[in-house]
Amino acid sequence: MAKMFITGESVEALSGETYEVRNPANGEVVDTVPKGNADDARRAIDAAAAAFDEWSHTTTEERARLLFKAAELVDGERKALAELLTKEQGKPLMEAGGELEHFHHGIEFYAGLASKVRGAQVPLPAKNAYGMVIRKPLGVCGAIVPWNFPITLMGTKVGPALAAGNTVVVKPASTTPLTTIRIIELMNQAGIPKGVLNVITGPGGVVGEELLVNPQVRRIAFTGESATGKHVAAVACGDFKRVTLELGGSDPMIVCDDADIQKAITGAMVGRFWNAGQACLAVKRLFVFDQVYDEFVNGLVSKVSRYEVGDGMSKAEKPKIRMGPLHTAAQRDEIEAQVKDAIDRGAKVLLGGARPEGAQYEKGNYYLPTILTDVAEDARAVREETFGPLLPIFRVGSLDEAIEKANQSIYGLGSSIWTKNLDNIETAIDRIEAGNVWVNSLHYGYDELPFGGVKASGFGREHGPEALDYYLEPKGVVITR
Amino acid sequence: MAQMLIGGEWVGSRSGDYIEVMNPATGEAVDTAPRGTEADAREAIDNAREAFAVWGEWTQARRADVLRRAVALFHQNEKELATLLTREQGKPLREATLEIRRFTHTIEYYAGLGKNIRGGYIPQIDENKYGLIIKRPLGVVGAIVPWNFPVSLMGNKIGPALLAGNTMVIKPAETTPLTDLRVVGLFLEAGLPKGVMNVVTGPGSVVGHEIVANPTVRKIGFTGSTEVGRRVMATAAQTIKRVTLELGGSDPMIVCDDADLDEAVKAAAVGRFFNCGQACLAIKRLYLFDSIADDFIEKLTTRVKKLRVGNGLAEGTMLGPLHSQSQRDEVEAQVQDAVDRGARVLVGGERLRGEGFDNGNFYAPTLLADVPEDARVATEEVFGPALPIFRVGSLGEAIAKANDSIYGLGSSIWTNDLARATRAAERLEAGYTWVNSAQIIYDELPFGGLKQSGYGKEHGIEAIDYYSETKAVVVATKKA
Repeated sequence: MAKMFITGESVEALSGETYEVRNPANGEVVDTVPKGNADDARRAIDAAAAAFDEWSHTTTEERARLLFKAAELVDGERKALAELLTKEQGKPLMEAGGELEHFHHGIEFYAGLASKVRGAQVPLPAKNAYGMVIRKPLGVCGAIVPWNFPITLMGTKVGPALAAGNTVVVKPASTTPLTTIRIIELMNQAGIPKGVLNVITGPGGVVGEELLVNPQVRRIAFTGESATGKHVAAVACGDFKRVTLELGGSDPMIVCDDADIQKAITGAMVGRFWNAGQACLAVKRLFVFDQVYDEFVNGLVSKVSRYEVGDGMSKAEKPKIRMGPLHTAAQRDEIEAQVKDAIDRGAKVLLGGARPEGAQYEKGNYYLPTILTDVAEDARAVREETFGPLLPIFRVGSLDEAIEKANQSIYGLGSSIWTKNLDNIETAIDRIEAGNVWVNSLHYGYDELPFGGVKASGFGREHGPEALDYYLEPKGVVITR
Repeated sequence: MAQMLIGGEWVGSRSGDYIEVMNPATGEAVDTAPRGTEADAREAIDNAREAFAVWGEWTQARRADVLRRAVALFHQNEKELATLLTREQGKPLREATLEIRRFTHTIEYYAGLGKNIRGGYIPQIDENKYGLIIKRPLGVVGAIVPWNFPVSLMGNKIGPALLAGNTMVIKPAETTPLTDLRVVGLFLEAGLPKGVMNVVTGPGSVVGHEIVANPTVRKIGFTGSTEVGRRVMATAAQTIKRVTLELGGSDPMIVCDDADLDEAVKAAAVGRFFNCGQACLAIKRLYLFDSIADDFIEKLTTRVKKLRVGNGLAEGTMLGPLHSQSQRDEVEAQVQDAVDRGARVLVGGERLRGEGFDNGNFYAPTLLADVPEDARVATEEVFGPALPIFRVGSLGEAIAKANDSIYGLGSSIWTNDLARATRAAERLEAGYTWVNSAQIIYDELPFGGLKQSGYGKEHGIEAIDYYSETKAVVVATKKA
């Protein structure tokens, strides 16, 4: 049985209650974890609050050293952690390994930046006086992490938070706590002082809610769906907690007539079907220029046909590529409903559109990679976020039309344009309403660049040196001699 | 017999000549190094130019990975490197170890900046136009390194130069090439591609001159005396090379009447006698407020008398020999000049004699009082273990005297008064002011002198700017 990790110790819930974590590929129990409640959350918050003063006064060099060491210890167990992640989350082992790699890079990135945080010395107009801008950590940070990328999305919060001198309480998704618990344990083994980094498990409505309402928590970093994000913002802003929200998206990808079609096909395929489509940042609406539409769509269908759904623990035989199950039955129900809605409104199914058949699929939440065309613009698959292996394709006559349609969404997370034409590129960079634009590139979140959404996709940024700004409070100081 | 590194190969000089590297504590040969020629330097420069085409295109993250792997090797080999450094340089083993650690820390600092070199973006500089600021490495850079801190002062150049994507030709001091060669070998082991870092040993007037004059070299990072720095700058000017010069200093330390005297005494002793006083950044003039002067001098004299001088490899040694005979001759002459003008020797003021001293360049740690202001110890840089002490009546007087120097590298003030501390921080003409703090260099802060102490900065994020070109790009877009 896995346990929570509070004040450097593995602990059970105060109530003694537990719940099961199940494998989405076969419904089997992977392990059990404590079913924490508000009291458990308070215990973790108190521990983080008690650890804050000392931790926030350690040298940046010491924090960097511990983060590097933590990254190294986690990396030493990469294989076992990737397997655990596949079992609880469902993603193929190769993708789980990639996720751990990304986590490792992210932690090292902020370890390296710990000693580069700077404020300023400011000459003032007053006589014999000068100003300073000093930057102080906030205090206890709550990190609420979703189930689609449990590890990288935890790292994007824990890395900058700890480097800046904050203490953290991590709340993993109810369905994916196991790898997180082990990683937090390893990071603590690296020598991070007790209480600085804690993890609590249990229902979001209880444990997560305590993080939102507890006045000792000064900052909430949330990644999840937009509806929950609204609730988080409403509650956490009630006592002026600092909040960043990484929410849903419906990323448009625009393929112009001069695009490198083969590269664009690969970009669409990986961009949509990575993690079985369960990614905030993913190609969710594809706009293809008329002139290259047929070539592109035929090529994409043939390439996506290479996916073979199955248990992430087993490799597909080349040239097949493994795609795992959806994470939960509810997740699959929603995708099925979105597909049905599109078909009811006249969409054609070019590929997939159903569960795979066969006894080996019966116990998992499997769904075939699905491509739809002739999708009505009021279909749910267009208006809503589709969090699964479902891609609607639209034919467009011009860039203006593509951008107009791309922007007809409440979301604004990622976007991409595929063209060699500089005018088209500049127009897209300038006009697409999104936090990120990729030009001839896969939608990939680089550590180097700030990442976050506009409109209903979120608030604030993770990644890049910018993320540190959200974990440090500037303080103005005037000194008159 | 040590070899130079050119294009990833360990080689001797084309001349076949070599130089003996001597231990300053015993006068015995430690090893030999090639006596490089102009042709050797040119070959190294050509290799660096070829390697630039590859290294300059590597991602920052990948370059940083090499630096980080090298850091692990420096930690592993710390003891061996420190021992070699003591043998060729003379400093006590404890100080040599500190130098290796400082060097390692610097490389780690720049490795941590990997992925963070950035240009800029400027919106709407004109109708339908935006600007980009892109950062590019310079190309081949030359690093000319002195003998006082052969490893850490080389690291100050390597860290920002490599991370920014430049390739290098390094010229260690003629008398201290060995540890530098060993360190560079560890970079190779860490995966640094061939030709990215080359080391040519030999005389500064031959090898160093070629590096500074050669038009392929786009920048010189030089640490050394102000006199040589002047020549480097003049020669580099012929090809409009970028230069960073870290030159001499004559750091003032001011102790006010409200200072914590015990802490200040400790800082003065370390600040002057670390590395046997052979440091650009060192306390070289001490200004004491009248009312505390006697007390301070007594405490400092007691402390300095306890400094144990000897072979750096011997346990308990706190002060090694001077690095060379000429170095000792100069300090002796400067002290004699002060005495001739009426200065009083409080402690030291002579060579150490007897077994264990006679074959080395030893000189006793020296404190001088009643020093006239025109004495050489006050007007020149003193690069050895001698400290002139002056009495002052006020902070104004102390600052005026402190600033009455062609140098402006470090400085420090000891006071608990906000107005005094602020005034000193603002008014002392120096690149660095420490307030109630020993003069310790931090990687996090830019370091470099004003006036004739130098030009440009090493350390800090700032150092990257001195190893990069900034390029402006304007992009016009179609009218919407």
